[in-house]
Amino acid sequence: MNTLVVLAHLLHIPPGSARPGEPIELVAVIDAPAAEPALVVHWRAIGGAIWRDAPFERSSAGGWYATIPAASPPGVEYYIGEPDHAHFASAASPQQITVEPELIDRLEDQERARTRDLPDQVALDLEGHDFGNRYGHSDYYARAELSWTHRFLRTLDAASFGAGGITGRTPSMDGADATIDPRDARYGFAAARLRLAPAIFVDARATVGVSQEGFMKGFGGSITLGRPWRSNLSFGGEALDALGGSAFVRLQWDTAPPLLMGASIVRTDLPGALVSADGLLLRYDVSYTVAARFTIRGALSYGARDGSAHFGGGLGTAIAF
Amino acid sequence: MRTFFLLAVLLLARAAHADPTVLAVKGDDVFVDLGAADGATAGAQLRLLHVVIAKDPTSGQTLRDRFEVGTLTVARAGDHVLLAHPEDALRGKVVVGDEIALASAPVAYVDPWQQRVAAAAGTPAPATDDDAARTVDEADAARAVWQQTLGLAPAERIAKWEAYLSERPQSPYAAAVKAELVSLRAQAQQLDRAATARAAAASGSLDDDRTHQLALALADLIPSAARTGPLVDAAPTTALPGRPITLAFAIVSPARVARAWLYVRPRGKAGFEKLELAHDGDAYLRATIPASLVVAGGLEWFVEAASAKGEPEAVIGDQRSPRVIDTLEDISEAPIASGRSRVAARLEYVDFDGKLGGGHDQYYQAEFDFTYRFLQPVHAIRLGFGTLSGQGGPKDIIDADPTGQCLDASGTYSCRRVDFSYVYTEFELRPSKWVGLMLRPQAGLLTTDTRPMSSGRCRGGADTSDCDFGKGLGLRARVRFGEEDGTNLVLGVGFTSGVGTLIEADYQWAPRPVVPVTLAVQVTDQPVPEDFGVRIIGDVGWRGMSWVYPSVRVSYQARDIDHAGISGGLGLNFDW
Repeated sequence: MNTLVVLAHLLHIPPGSARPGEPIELVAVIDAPAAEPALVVHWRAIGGAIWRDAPFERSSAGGWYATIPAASPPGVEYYIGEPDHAHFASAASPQQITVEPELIDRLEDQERARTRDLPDQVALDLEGHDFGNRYGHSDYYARAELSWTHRFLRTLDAASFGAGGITGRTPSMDGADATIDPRDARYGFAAARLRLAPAIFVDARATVGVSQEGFMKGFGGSITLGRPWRSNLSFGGEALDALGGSAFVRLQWDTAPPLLMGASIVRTDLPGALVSADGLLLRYDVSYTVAARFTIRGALSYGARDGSAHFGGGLGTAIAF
Repeated sequence: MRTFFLLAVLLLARAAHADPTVLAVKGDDVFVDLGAADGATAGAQLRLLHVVIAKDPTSGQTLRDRFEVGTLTVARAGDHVLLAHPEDALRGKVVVGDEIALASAPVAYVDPWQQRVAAAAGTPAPATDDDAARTVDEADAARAVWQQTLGLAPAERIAKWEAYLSERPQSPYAAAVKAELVSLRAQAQQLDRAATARAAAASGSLDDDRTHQLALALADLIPSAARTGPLVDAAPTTALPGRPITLAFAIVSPARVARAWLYVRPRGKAGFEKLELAHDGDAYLRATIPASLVVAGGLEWFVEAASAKGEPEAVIGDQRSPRVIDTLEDISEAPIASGRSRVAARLEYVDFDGKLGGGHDQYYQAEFDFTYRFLQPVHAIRLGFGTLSGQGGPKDIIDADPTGQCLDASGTYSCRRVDFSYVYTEFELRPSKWVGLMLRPQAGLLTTDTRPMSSGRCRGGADTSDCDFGKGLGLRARVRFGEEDGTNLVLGVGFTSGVGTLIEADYQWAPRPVVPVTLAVQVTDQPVPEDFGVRIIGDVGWRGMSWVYPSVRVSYQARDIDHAGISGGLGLNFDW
């Protein structure tokens, strides 16, 4: 016996994308809605296994609305109707609504994966340089720092807190008759690293402590063009009340894994040089990740301030957790 | 199914006996072999009787009796069969075979069919016995056809009635049958249209009017849907590179969209790739842009559609002004690239007067630098440390002094020793594959000693009289023509305060892949800014291993034909 079946007819504008964390509202108009007991959106996360339902509900203002809960990247896929009569798409060929993550979210995910979700690090670094002196006087410094760093992996990429000390000797004046002044400082510092772009980092640091002249304050900063864990160019500086200023430009390259190498040109007044402000050195450093959590570093420097060039170097280690 | 059920009821009715019984039960529908001819019409009350049959154990007689268990109400009545509904208390208790008795008073029955036939024929009801017999025959024949049509589709019913009319054109029922045929044909047409609509919807050909009405309603809800084109979309404006994009379009004017095509290309590329859009669901078109087209820099797309007999026309964007999907910034980290970094060390001794340690125009220069090729935005950056140490002076005085002490005619020492320790940073830009521009600022500590025969005195010692300590600042610029690792020509000029000027031309090529060769000509007054001389340099390397590259350098230099010397140097490069 022939029966006249009137099918519902549904029209909506399939959204191509959605914002993360915001529900997705589908707005439709339906012709002959009574012909089907329930019009339902079937949805699931892209690549997911379980379909969930969101019914279309009639609004007093007209139209039919179905809401897919807030989705996370990469998005959701959906179809409308039943397997024997799909109004739009199908379970076998659902329509995707992409949810593009914010840039900072993508960067965070990427970095979290790279660091194996170990956001904290404790590092100990020792370094020093003997500048020598044409009169044979002592002119050197040694510096040690212990720091704890936590990575937030957002625009505020990391924050550090630590303590350090500087010990050095430098001639009090030019000439053979100069005395040798001790130069020492003990300090604490706080630092922050901002990730302004995927490959632009800015570091800022504030230091307070004491030196042979009393209270000491200082600040520093640097800009890194490139990722700190990959090849990059960075430059920056530091100023400490009684111990003078430093500036550097550093080139780092990752072309010899697992080694990460860097070369720096450093102009420094450490440890508070009085005879000349022209301390220049070239420093080569290399770091090696021994294990997932454990890194060791070494550095070799060569440079002069007042007289022929001399060597220096450094050692360091870091443990992530 | 329902047709079979009705036929079964009719057959049972034909075999009905004198006592009316329940012929069939279907839900609340109870069919009884009692009809209008028996005085049972719509609204009449029936009594339902359960029959009890038992055998008397003493007499052996079979006893039969009936008990009323409830009432039914006649809903519709045919001549001999009626449809009744039981009262609430009886629901589910009526069974086939139950006996029925008419509870209401019988109602006189007039066959509406015969009345209709008579009215259509314009004749009075039959009066004679022959007429009566003929009428009964016609009625039986018509009833037989009517029973055959039960449950059939309109088209089949039409066929049966048409056959009846062709056999009995003079039937008194002919007019009524013709009227019935008109009605049936109208029903058939309606069903055909509905079936066509369903088939069209299923095959993707759409009901234009219906969809158009929906589109108008949608435009009331979503202003962006109010557009003149046949498609509306909410395509994404951004996408992740390397991931396919599924696009879907709602059709608001189906007649203009029999077929449609999506044209896509990476932004800025020539030529669009054509993808056919597939009809989907109630009124949609869909397509997937393959991942290979979703590349950094974004992609451009537009849609063309054609009606069933029309030419394709652009309906979203067009070739000249396509829509754009920007690709999100690619944050993936490129794999570590080999060949991007170099550590180079060079040591060279330059003897301009040919007297080696006994002369007054010699210097050595050592440089140690690190290079990394970022490629973008700066092709390469080089950091280095160097030292230049030597002595020099006016060549005429050096050559003219018979004592070899660089004394002028008045006996004044005219030469000087320089020690220059410096650092440098070189930036290399590459505006094209064949051109590289290199700029190298450098700064260092410059010590100048004007006392004769005092090698190293100013660098470390108590006596620093006649020593001058200062800064040496310099700049070196070079341009390279040709590929960095292939044959190329480098032209450069450099100047350092207190040290001198250097103008150079280097020609590099590799006669064999493992033997890179550099020929260079330099014009310089180093190590002190006095007389210019010319240097001719040959540098030969050996690239037996990919990561290390030693080289040997031999040079001839002269400030004049009598003021010349030969010297050399070594180089060592590490490439990763």
